[in-house]
Amino acid sequence: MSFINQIKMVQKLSQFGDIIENVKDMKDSKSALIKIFDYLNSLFNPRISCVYEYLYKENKFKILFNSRTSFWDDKENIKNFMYRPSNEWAIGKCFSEKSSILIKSPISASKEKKYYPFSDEIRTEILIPILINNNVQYIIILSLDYRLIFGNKLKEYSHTITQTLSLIFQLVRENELNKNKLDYFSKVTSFNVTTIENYLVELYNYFQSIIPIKIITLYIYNSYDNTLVLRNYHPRAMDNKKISSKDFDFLVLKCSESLSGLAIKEKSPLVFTDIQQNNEFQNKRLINTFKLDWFISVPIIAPNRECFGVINIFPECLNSQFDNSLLELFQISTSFLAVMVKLNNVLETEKFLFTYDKIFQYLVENEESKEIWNNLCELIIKQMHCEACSIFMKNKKGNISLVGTTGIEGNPSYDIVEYLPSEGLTGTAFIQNEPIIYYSDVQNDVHKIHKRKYREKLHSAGYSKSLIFIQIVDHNKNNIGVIRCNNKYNDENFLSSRFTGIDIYKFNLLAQFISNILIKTNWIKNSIKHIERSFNCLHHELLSPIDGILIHIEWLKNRFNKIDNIISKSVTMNNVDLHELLKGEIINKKVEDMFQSGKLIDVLVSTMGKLEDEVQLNLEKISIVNLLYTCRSFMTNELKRKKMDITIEHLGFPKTLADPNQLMRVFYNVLRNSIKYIDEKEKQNYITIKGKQDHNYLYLIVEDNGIGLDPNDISKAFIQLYRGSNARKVFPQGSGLGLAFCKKIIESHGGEIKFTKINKPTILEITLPK
Amino acid sequence: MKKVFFIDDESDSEKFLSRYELMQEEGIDIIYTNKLKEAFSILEDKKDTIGLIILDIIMPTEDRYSEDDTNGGTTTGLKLLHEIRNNGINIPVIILSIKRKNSLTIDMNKLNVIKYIEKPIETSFLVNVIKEHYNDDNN
Repeated sequence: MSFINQIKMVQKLSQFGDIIENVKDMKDSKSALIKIFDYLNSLFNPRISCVYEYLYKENKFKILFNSRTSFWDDKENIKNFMYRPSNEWAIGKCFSEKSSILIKSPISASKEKKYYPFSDEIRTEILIPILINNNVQYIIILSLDYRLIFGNKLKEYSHTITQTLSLIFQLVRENELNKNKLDYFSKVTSFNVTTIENYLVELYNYFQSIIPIKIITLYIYNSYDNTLVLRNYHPRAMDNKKISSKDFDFLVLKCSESLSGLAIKEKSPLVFTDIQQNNEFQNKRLINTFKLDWFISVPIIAPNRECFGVINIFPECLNSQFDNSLLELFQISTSFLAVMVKLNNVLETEKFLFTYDKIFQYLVENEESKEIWNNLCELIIKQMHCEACSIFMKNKKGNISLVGTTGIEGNPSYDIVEYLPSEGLTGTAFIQNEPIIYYSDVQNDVHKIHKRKYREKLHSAGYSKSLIFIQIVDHNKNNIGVIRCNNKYNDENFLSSRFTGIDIYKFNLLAQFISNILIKTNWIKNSIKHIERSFNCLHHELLSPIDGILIHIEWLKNRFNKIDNIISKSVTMNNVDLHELLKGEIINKKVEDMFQSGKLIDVLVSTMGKLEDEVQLNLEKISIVNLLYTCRSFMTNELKRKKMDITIEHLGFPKTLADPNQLMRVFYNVLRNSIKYIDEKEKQNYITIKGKQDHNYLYLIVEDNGIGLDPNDISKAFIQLYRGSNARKVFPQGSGLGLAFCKKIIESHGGEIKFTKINKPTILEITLPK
Repeated sequence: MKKVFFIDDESDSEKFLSRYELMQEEGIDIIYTNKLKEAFSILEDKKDTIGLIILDIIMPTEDRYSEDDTNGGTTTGLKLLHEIRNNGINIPVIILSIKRKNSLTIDMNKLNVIKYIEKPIETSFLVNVIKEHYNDDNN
């Protein structure tokens, strides 16, 4: 470059503003960098120029982009200059001093130290670093084929350039980052995520737009024993090496002893640096294998401060390059996650609880069977992702015995089918007051919980990594059973080897649900038993007095007969001649009535639906007409009082096979109804009995002009205990058993009874087979 | 004639005493109890003099049996009968109860129950049944 041109250049250089103007509206840092590079190229007109980027992992510089000169067309050149170590003379000096370097005689410098200029034609070399957070991120190398006249002044200038460019670059990058943050945030809040594990992958993908990440791990918090369980990590391979469970020293971390636990305690993200030296960082194998030296622990906290776990992020960049404002972003993302998970859990739980409904319906309606309990166990293991499930219920001895199980593959059922209370872990769990009891790492010495009590034989429960016991309680909160779920250790699938806090939350809901259902089913079963018992007692109560009355009458009769034989004069009591009373037909009739009442009660009770036996009929060939006349004679007094009569028309019925006593009862009932339910507005109340017959049946038609039935009551008139609205008005204390009883008797005879007209007049038709 | 042993929770009631009087006048010798425990002690002492047991089914459990075992006290008599038989006492039994026969399953032969009579029942009928049994026995 000629002298004059150099002066022009210097003049241009003083116009800082140009650079800033060029670059300030750049949306992303890469374009800004290119713009800066182009600008400098246009100013200095170098023979060769390029931009090196610092790779902190390898601790060397790599060419990011270069100028379009013939030098770089040569593949050999690209190969030679692609990488530069960060400790070599020019670049190394620039890197360590964090300031621009001006090499005035590159060729002579190269003979003395390890310095490789691009070519022999180079007369001046300028190295301009761009710093981010005070660390060299890029170095712009301008190799000039002329000598700079204003070399010293230029040095001062280039310092300022460095600072300015770094600042500009930083600002542009911040803009870029902010935009990414907003982008990221909008994406994260619109995730459609159903499980916490899937969320991790999404999170990893979106994080990359802001800050490149090496690996991200997810631990779920278990509040029961204050541990963190590794549940997922992403990606599954790093640096061409597969990551497996063996790369983790600890799949379960104790909160009190781990760095992640600290983050949970603080309930905010924490940054941990120099983890390779830090003894509190436990998974040393992982960080040594993959050369990780710092991480961010972000706890997953719901807005109500409930903690679900932590997400540990191992970024690719240097800690010093990390923008701390990102921490807030991560925190909010995870709290979003927490809320989503909670909601999804509730939905999921509701869904699976609904499927249990069917099983329990069956339990209520049918006798308990081993099959139902086994089915329930199967359902539980599918829903709760456990390996095996068994249900134990309290038996008569006060111990708990196995009612249902899924067993473990290769083993049809557990060896131990009955536990004493407080025997083994199962027995102990049964007598506790807590609804859920959780034993973790039952194989491992790390937790040593109740290991001494763990006597379940190895080949049945030896698979277990963790056990959960869920209490089943009755309505008095007494323990009536326990459900045991096992999670077994499986090397392939270590991620599900322990129950986590979320699982336990689900189990809690399940426990409540099961207890409620069992309470209901037990209550129903007990109620049914109780109903049976009460019914039997009712029967007993009804018959007992009859028994007593009978005996007393017998005794009285016996005594007075004997007295009568000795003393001839009459004995009165309350002006009644006992002799007449006891000796006459009346007492015999009464005794017989007592018997009939006993049978009546049997029939009544059976109409109430409990005793399903048929009514015992003593069939005789009888005259229905005579029966009707006798029945009418029992009601003479009442008919006289109500000034009405029963007209029995000529029936012409042949003798029929029927039970006279029971039929008598039916007629008595029907006629008494007609008398009871008269319509007082009528001038004359009447009851008429007519008859007709065909080849097979006799039809008795009873007609009256009483108050009749309400149309709504027709279908229910013969149902036991049902009382029609009209009847209730006139005779509110009725039992509602009369017509039901009649129906039972008539139907036992093979006949039918129904109303053919409900009002004005009321007509009841009784059909009997011939 | 051997005695007839009534086991019924109402055995000492007025109505039962009336019945016993009538029966005794027909020549039937009666002993009775209304307590389960006493039933056993009487059977032990006097088993050689007892020829027939008349047993009710519905009786209080008196803490001897559980509510569950006796359906709330409605099958106490049966439980008692099983226990009597298990103790080797094979005196024939007539069940006299309000409880309807078809609401129970009883192995009449195995338990040596010669008749199941449903209350209420006329005393004269009962007397005839007892006399018939003793006649059969003698024959």
